[in-house]
Amino acid sequence: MDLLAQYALYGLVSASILALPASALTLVYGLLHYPNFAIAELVMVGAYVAVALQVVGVPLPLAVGGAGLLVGALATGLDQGLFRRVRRYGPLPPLLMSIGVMFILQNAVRFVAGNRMRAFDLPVLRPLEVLGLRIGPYQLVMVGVSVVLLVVGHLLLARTRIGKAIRATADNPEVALASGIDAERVARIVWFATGILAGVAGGLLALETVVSPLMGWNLLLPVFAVAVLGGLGSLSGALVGALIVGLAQEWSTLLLPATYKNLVAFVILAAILLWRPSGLLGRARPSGR
Amino acid sequence: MLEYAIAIVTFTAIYAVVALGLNLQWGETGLVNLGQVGFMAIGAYTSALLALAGWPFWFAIPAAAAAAGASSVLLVAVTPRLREDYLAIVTLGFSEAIRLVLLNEAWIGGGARGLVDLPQPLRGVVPDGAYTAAYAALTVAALAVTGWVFSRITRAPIGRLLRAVREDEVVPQAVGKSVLRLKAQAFVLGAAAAGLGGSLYVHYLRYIAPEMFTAQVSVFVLVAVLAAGGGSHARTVLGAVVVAVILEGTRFLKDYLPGIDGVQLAALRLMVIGAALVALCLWRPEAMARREAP
Amino acid sequence: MSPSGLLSTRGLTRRFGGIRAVDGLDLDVEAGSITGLIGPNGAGKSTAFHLVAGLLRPDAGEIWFDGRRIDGLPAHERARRGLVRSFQVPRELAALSVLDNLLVAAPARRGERLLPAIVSLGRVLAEEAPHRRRAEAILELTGLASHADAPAGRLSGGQKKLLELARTLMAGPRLALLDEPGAGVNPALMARIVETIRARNQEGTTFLVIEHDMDLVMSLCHRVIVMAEGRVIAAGTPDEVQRDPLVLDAYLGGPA
Repeated sequence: MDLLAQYALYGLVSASILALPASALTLVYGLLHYPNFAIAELVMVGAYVAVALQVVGVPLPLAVGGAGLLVGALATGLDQGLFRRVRRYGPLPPLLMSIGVMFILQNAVRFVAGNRMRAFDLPVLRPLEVLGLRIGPYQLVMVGVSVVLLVVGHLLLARTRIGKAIRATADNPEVALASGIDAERVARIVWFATGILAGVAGGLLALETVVSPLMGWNLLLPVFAVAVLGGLGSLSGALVGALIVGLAQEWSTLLLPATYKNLVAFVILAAILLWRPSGLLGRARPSGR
Repeated sequence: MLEYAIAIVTFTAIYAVVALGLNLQWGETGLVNLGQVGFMAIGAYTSALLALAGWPFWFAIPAAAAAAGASSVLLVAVTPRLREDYLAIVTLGFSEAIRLVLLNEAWIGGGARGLVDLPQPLRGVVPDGAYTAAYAALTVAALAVTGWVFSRITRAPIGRLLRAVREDEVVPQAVGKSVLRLKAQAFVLGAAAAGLGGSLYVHYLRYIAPEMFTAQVSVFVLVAVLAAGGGSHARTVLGAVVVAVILEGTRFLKDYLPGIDGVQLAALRLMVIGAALVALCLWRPEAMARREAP
Repeated sequence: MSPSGLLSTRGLTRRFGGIRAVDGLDLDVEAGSITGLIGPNGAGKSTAFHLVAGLLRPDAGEIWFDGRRIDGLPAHERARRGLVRSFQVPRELAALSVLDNLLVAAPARRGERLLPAIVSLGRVLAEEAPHRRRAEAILELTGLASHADAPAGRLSGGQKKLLELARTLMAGPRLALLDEPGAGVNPALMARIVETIRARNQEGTTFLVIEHDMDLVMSLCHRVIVMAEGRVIAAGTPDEVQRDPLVLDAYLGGPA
């Protein structure tokens, strides 16, 4: 029982990391209607940028924040230079293009940084004990920052003018256009937000794990499982999905080797697609005419 | 130098066999499949285990194709329920799931360490000095047979029906053709070709390990098929030649690029493949876009 | 007990959300007839076609074709038994030639199976000859013969409507369900369509035609069935139906 609770806590930590890129994936999907396979590589790039910034002497919080901004700029650039041009051809061309971008990012990092694993230069801290459960101080930071970022994101989306413009465009692009919303500006802002979420997630992930060119690829299935489980396009769905996938992955290690975590994610993904393709909180798309 | 050329021919023929399979699925029938490497793995492990257990190759290699084809039925069963972007995710995840199982279940094929000293077809039949050339000839023959079979299918009335499924599957359905049967046939045959390719690959290298079957390989054959524009078998083979030359034909460049080590050269190759995929999407997006289902 | 028509539905119902698009529909189409299916927009005509052809599943009710229940069969099995539909918005196979669009609809034959195609391609292709001739004859009849080798995507809108009709006929239907075959077609092409339907009817094909053009319905059809709000409100000869007060009410009082 204690073990279950302890692993539930680890699940919460995983969920806090998964929720960020999954929210990014679901934001772009909700607005532009294609899945961005490069999302997990943006997390990986964020991790490298954060570590590199710390190496050159930037304080840790600024390094993580800087990774968010730089990856945000990168993501916006990718959309403007590449994805925007094939957006109107349906989901497949941008989807395939994002796979090409995934290759490019992963190997550009490998080219520059090599296969060697890297990490933040951090003091080793003793885990805290709360109610008999253990949690690392850095894990606490990961959960905290992630929650703050997600809450701020939700508030921006719910309260601000640009947030309303984003939601209106996702709901009905024609009506939004008719009411004077600049759809291109909305797309740029969403892509920038996507990059911030992914970049910060990378920086946070680097607090706990070593950084390697393959870390993005290893996140891809869980991130998709989270977004699809919650319903592609649904932000609150991504949160629920992250909790379920995070818990399932951590609890699975009680029974299965840890290397099966991604298989657990795939099983969740496949099951939800077969059972309820619109996800838990997604809106069912009308089928038939 | 001759050995190097023979090796490139061998790799090219193997990639081409797998690409022809994907072309039948995607180019002809419009079935998205990002998991071709999963079927290669199933074929490769099938024939490797059979050969190690003493079965002859005339049985082990066809069995590899059959096992890969049969396993693809799992995916065929879900295709009618999934939109194409979801199908892309599921097929990619499927192949990764297969790799994870092979990695963890050491009783199947030795886990991460894999299996070494695999038996080779024609070993002992042809003189050792000519073995690599003979193996290259075997892979080219496999390519010729695959191309022959697939081109007969696409020229026959069934080929027309496969293209009809690609264009708009409601139409063949409305005139009395079972779309599920057609999709299943194309998918199973395409997966069988991947199984054949996977089997030829590992018996050539004489070892097998899960690391050989990462999703990258699916993207290599995808680029070959997209470069060919979909549909033509001859151009698909040409696409595979281009991809194989980028991947295998650039190893000598290391001697000419002094500042670059092996890891960097490998990374550069993969960046070229990624850039090719991006360029193909920019160049001909409309060729990849499909008509919306009703 | 099976109803007497070639096609009959009993209590056929389909809801979308809370709306009953088709609501207890009892339809009867006599063998050998050209039957018109008319009604104001939103009456449920196209939904009824989808249900009969198997593109939608009914929530309730029965569909009988030639004395057998068919509502459990998948769409392609229904077509195989001779119940073939055309689409209101043409669904041409754009990249295929016009001739290939028709050959797709040719009846099941050996060349549609893998093994014969691989093992005896020569024989299989030789067996295509009669189907090709029949397709060419249908293209001649529908006035598309000069476009036989062009990609179907390049046809004009009206020609695509003709292609819909041609493909439906190529499938050799016993009952052809035509969904507004004349909508958006110029008068010359329209005359072609009427002529083609009549000629095929003479040879024994039964037609059920959704159409909005009343003049066309009255001149072409032997019987007319009128739908409103998902049900049949009248059926009879064109004359009888035209004088039915319920019909007048549905059209004048309806949204269209």
